[in-house]
Amino acid sequence: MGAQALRRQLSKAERVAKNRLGRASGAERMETLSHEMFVGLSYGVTGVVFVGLVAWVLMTGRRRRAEIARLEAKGSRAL
Amino acid sequence: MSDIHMNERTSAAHGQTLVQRFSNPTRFMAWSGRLLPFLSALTIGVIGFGLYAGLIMAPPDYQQGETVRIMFVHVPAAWLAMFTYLTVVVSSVGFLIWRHPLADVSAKAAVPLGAAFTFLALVTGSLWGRPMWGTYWVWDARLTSVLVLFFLYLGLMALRNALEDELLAGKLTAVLAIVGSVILPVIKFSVDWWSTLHQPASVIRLDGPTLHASMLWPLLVMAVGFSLFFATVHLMAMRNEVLRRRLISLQRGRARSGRASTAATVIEG
Repeated sequence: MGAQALRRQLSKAERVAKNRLGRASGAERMETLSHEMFVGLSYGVTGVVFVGLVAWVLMTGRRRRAEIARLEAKGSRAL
Repeated sequence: MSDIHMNERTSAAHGQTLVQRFSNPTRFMAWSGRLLPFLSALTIGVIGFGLYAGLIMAPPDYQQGETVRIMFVHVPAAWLAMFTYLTVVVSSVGFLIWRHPLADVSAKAAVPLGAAFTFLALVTGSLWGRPMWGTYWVWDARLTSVLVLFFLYLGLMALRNALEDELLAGKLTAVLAIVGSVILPVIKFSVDWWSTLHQPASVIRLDGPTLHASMLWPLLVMAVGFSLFFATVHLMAMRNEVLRRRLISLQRGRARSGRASTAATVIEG
């Protein structure tokens, strides 16, 4: 087989692989993740959960303080 | 929930122990408010250093390569999932025996945090399992028992929210938490009792850790960082719960004074 024919076959194989990747489902794409991406995803999910927890407690605290201040300003007394 | 506003002088007058005095809700709000800025700064510092140690300083594993770095978030998350449940159980026992309202506050505040740590342990374990075991999930004893722990946390939250009577909700949740504590030894020893895909313990062992020192110390730094994060967010969530109970008390006080003034108007009329 000549060098030109070999190049043609290689570029055809490359096109087929690209098309397959383009049509791949989410689960199929997860199969092809590199090890670094698994590491990145793990740290990413952890970061999102940590930031989410902190944001949740901060916002809840702020909302409750504001509500207590509003009731106390109206003259409410604790039971 | 007026007992949450126990007067400081009253508690001191009854000759309470140091722990009882610190767990007085008024004093708790004072000392936790002073402690939180330092605890938050320490948490950020330790987790920041742990990330540097785990991602930059620790070497890749000779078999697992870079994937071993998932261990520095997966293992602390799994430890904290169990430690948080232990906190819920101890608080529940404190609430049922001594009926201290702050113990119930502690149990209630810890449950969502435990659910978050368990979720992280499951997800990061799954992301570690795919490149190492070739699958995201297997129904083996360790993975399944941790999933049961996650459902237990969700069950504790659902039970508390399902009941309007807060005292009854606290008691029933405490009983469920104590009964559910049987899951902790099952998780810990599942890798010894059954044949599992999950590896056996490599840090907390009677014959010492089998992990190389270059990976052990970053793991321990991250475990300290996660524990500090739990302590910080738990204190913040407890303060929020004390505020919620104060808010309810204010709303009830307002409703009662409203009824009293209406009754007075009717009598005068």
